[in-house]
Amino acid sequence: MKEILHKIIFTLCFVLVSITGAFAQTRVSGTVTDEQGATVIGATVKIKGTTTAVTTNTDGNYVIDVPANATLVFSFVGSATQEVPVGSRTKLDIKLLPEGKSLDEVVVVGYGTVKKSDVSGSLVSLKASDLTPGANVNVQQMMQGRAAGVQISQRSGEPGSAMSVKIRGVSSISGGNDPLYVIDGMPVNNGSPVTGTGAQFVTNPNPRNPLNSLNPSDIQSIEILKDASATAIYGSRGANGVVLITTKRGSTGAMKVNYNAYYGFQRVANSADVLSPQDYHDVLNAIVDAGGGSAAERVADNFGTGTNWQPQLFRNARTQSHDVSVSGGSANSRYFASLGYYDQDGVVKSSGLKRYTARVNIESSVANKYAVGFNLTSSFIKDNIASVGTGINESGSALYSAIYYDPTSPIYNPNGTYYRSSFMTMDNPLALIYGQTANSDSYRTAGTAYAEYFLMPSLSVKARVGGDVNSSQKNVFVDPSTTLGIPGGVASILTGTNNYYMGEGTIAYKQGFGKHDINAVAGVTYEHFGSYSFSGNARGFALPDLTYNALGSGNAALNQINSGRASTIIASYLARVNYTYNNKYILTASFRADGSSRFGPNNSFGYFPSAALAWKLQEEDFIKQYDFINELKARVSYGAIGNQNIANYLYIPTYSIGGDAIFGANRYSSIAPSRNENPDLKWEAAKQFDVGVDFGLFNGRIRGSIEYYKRNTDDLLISLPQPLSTGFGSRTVNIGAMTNSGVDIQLGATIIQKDGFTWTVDGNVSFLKNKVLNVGPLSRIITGGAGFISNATIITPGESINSYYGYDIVGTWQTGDDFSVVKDKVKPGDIKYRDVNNDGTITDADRVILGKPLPDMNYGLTNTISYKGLSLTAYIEGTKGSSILNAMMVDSYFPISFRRNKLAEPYLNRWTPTNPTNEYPSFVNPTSQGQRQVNSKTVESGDYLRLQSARLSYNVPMKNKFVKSLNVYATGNNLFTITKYKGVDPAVNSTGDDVLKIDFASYPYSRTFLFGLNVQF
Amino acid sequence: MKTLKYIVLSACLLISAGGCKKMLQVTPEAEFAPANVLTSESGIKALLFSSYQNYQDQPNMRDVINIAEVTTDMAFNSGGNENLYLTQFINFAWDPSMSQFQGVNWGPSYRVIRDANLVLESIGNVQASDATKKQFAAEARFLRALAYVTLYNWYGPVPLRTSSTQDANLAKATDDQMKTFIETEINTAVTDLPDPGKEEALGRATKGAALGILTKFLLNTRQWQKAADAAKRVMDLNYYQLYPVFKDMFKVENEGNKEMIFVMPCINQTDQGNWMAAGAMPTAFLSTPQLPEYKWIAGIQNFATMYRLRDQLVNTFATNDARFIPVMRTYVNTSNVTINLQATVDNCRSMKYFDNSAVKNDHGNDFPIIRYADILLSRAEAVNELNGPTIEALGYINPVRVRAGIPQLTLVDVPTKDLFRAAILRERGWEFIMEGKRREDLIRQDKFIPLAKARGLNARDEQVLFPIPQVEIDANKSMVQNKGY
Repeated sequence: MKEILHKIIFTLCFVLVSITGAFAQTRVSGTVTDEQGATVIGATVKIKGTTTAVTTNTDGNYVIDVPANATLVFSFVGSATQEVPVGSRTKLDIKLLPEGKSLDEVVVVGYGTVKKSDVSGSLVSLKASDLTPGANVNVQQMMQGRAAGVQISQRSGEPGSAMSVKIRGVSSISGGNDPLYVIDGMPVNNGSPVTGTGAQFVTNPNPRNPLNSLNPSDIQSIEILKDASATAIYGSRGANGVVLITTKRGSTGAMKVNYNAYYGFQRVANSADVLSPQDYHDVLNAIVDAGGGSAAERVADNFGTGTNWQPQLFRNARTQSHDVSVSGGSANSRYFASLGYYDQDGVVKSSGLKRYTARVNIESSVANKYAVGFNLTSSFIKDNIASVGTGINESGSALYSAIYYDPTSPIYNPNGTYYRSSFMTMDNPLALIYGQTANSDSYRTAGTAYAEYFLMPSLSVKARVGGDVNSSQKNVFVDPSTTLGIPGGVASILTGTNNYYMGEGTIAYKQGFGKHDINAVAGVTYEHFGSYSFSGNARGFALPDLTYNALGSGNAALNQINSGRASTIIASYLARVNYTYNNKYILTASFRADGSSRFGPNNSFGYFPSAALAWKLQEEDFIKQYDFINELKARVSYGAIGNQNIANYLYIPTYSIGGDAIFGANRYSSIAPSRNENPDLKWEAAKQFDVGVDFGLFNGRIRGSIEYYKRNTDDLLISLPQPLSTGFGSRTVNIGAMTNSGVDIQLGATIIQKDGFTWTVDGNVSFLKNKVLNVGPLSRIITGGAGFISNATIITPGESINSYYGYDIVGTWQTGDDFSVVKDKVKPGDIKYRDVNNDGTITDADRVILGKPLPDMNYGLTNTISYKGLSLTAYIEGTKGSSILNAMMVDSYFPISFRRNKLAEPYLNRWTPTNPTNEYPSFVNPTSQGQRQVNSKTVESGDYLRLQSARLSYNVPMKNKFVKSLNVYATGNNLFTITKYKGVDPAVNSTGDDVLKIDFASYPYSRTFLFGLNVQF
Repeated sequence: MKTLKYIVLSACLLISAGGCKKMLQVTPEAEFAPANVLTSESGIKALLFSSYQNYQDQPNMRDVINIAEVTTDMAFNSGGNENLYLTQFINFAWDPSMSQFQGVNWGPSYRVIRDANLVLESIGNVQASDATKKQFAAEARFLRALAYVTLYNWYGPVPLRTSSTQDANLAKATDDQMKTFIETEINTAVTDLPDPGKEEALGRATKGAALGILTKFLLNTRQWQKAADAAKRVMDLNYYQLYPVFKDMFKVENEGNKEMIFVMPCINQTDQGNWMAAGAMPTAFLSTPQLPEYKWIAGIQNFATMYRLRDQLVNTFATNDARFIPVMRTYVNTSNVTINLQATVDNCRSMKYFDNSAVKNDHGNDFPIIRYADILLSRAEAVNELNGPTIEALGYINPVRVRAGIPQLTLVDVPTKDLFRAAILRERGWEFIMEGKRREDLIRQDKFIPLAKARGLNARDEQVLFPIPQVEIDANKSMVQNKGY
């Protein structure tokens, strides 16, 4: 962009020189374009110091008469205001850049900012305009697929559900793989205040996302720090990458009022394809005839119409969002304030989210003298939580029950009560969706204040204090119309508060000496994380009308209460020097010492150094001769980063409340050792190497970067299985090593830019290889599961973390096969497993690696076509090389009970004597060789390509002075997905884990259509 | 602006003064300090109760019982998730990676041992009366021995952990070490345990419980004389007696009756109850004519899995045997249709445990661990093994038959040691349905593998022991897998 601008300026200068003579009143004309070169309609062109102004027409052109020595002010909503002295020019074309992006663009890095051209580490800088549009409740949804090396997925379609964010793979087995989020300089305490789901409510390992409290409309820019040079300044929390979020600031000038709103419609994009009532009847009875199930389980012929259960839980849901912001400022002070309202009903009944947010950012500064600022945001979120989760059988969720419930059952009995099939232990799906409900009220207020004082223009000291309080109360009621609610209902209230405060002092030095430029910062920080919780439940209400609002009215003998409290402290020292020589060579070195209360006195401090070198080749003469190269920067970095994201107190021997012992008819509380403590616990230590090149060619028509990285993580925090005979299942220790390496490519091109027509393509692709190097004294760790599925994956040297580990199905036993090779009692139509060790029987020794949850490749591609004020953007994303365990396929292969419904495709195409397929077995005797849940049929490819969003927008030309600009748009989200996956969607994950992926009756994704407008007054 | 300068500078100073190690000290506010737990009477009692609690995993008992019975001529299973692993037991196709091997017995038993060891190590420092300390120590010793008996029953010799400071990598003890340890420990515990009926609450250890466990261990390890002697010590307590009405012995209202020597107490609360009825009830069970006092009501959970009895056993009952009453053969379903369970092979159910006040699947019926009938039959068996059929031996088996309402045996019926042994095994089959004793009974009489083979299974002699859980093999460097796995 910069290069294009340079060219424009150069051309203008040339034009200027050729024109002689000046007039008292000059007529100036020109075209205003945006960053991509699209013409901007309705931009304001004003003569500075006057009220004279015009707006650009539908071609982006303007004409204005100016006095001598005038300065023109170009402004447009969402763009940075530019002031340009006219001089003697008569033609002045202007390219507007997004707000916050200036010609000499600076980017936010940890504890400071640097000029973008001087960045020596790996970071992706995203402006608000780069983010995915749509009904996004949180910032991560908007970042999805936008940055190479950053893999983001929503774990389910539930409004506000947890997100999985992995930057450059995963480097921890049990220490968490979420990046550190830092909002306006304050690290975010990203835990959920309430994680429990309430008594008799289905377990859901995916809590609501704590970052839902941040209104995405308030975000000005996001910097994703990827290499050690960029993240090491965050030391013990840098190993998973760092996401720096900067909220909007006011800018000097008259008050601007912005109003953004959209209204949208959502429906379920896809649901499990189970047998229809008629197929269920035919298939199950045919299997009974063939010797499966039992005669008593035959499906009655006169089932009427039956019920297609899943659609009974779904609805077409609406969503809307309204944001109002005011911003402006005087010479020294600026302000930004916003109010937001977001309302999303879930496509599954009884679910939804409403959010109210408010923000005030004010700052006052005089360059090189002082700066003070204050950011405060507050939010209230009301979540409605439906029966969704990983419960099983009678504890299953409504979605689980709807997939498996007998489709020949009616919904209601003739007397209006819920029908319950005697073959099903699951509850009626509608009883669950209406009778098992929860909601939560969450209040979060976070703010920071800073003051910076310049002792001299090059030297400043800065203090920052911040705090964040996140309180939540969850109300849960399981009413007596459900089987779990009998008798009298079960009500729970769970409350929790996470609090955080921090203090930070830094000293910054910025000075140039001839060819030498130094930009340095040093500081200390102190952070305190606290949490406390209280929960209680009651049951057996004589009159359950008051649900969770009167827990005291339950049977007092059955009341249960719990509470907890914990805290963590991190105290740190940090320093960084950025040195530039001759504007060609850049050296950055940083260091952080982190002390954490999570580790014992033996290892409470960790040290994290890093260094990076960058070389701006475009400044060298031997490159300057090539006109088409505008930017060419090579960089290399190496550093140490850590991960401390484990439970508190693991080094301290203590005792905790255990389960109750029962003597006679009474309960007696017990106290048991809390853990097998480890006083030598320390950080996970990652060392990351990164080499990359950034380039801009043909005046920025082609731009991008290519990077290679390799991160080795040692001393992994692992909950190491102990000999169970010690009485402890595991102990958290530092053992093992893992490596992540890969290539991140970010590429953009302006393919056509002509006559107001622009076509740009921006894409990113990342390749990742994760490899476990060792797991200490163990040869492997077999772990992972959901519901009845356990031991689904393996962590073993040489393989990707949590690779699926199970049995290879090679076909189906056929009538003519040689059955003498197998000792197990198999018949034609049974599943034929690969007998890996050729011992004639299938045992756990026959397990092989079947796939891995981490993809080899992620990609995202944005196409933008604009013509005059009209713009169409389509955004595609996808992954390749990953697998997912389909729990619905597991239940179809090995039904918990014969009469459960099953996935249609395997059963309609099953083996029969007349259809001797090798694709599927007969399902007559599926457990003839045991229940091999994790196998090559249930572990499916998770590859997909998705049209994640498409947006058509139009800048309506504005002639009046009241409305400065108006943009209207329509957006579609999740428009289509190409995948071979037989479940609901290959991107879902029900386990709550970052890595292990299991689709277990997941809340389906929705397809959304939004209509919105963006107006500035 | 000077003010600002000072504010900023002093704030920076304040923060930088911080970052020392002392600042990093945190106290786990919601956890107990070991010193407080291990020196106070209430602390050590709560730790002792943790040992009990680890033994008392009521939901887990369904697996303990089913695994001991579906592997024999007694029980069968179909449907539900449980069937997916019980099938492997039914088919003698179990392998070390099955989670039941760590979850049902190994893990909980060693947690009992862990807590008992901590109690025994700390008891000397506890502020309490000597009598209390002695009693707590005796209970801990009893629980530890009970856990080793439970482990030995499945796995044979296992690592003998007797202190919390032993190396995590600990090898198996020898068979002799196990036997000696268990016998010595129980005998030590008996001294300080309360007499039966004098325990603080039902389910706490007594002299009777300890001697009962010892009797069964000695019997199962074929130490006949010692077993006969231990059984006699139980009888000599002059406390226990057979409960007159067999089917009522297991009812909630009759808990604490004098036939029950040691029980695992159950209450009708979530995960604290007896789950056997939930699995035993056939599809859409409402009531059964055999036990009209039991009635299913909405809210009582009926599992997808079916705990069934094999006809091989059911068909041997005398029709007037009182123990045949809880064997449900017909039932009325929720549509008021009477269903004959015997129309399907191996489909009768044991309704020994049912609680009309059950909440979901939690029934309040205690699990009998040792009851007096078992002591009588054990003594009969041991005496027969020592001396062959005698009047004395018949004197132990016949009260059990009398209570069941079937004719007494005479030496004419069981003239040889083998015939007497077979009679005992039959008697035990009728008596202890759904009490989890069949596997050990068959193993003791060398019938476990032959009967499996007779059912057409590919059973191996080594399968009298279960494999050491794979997780233990993986984590414990000194551990060797049992032969044949």
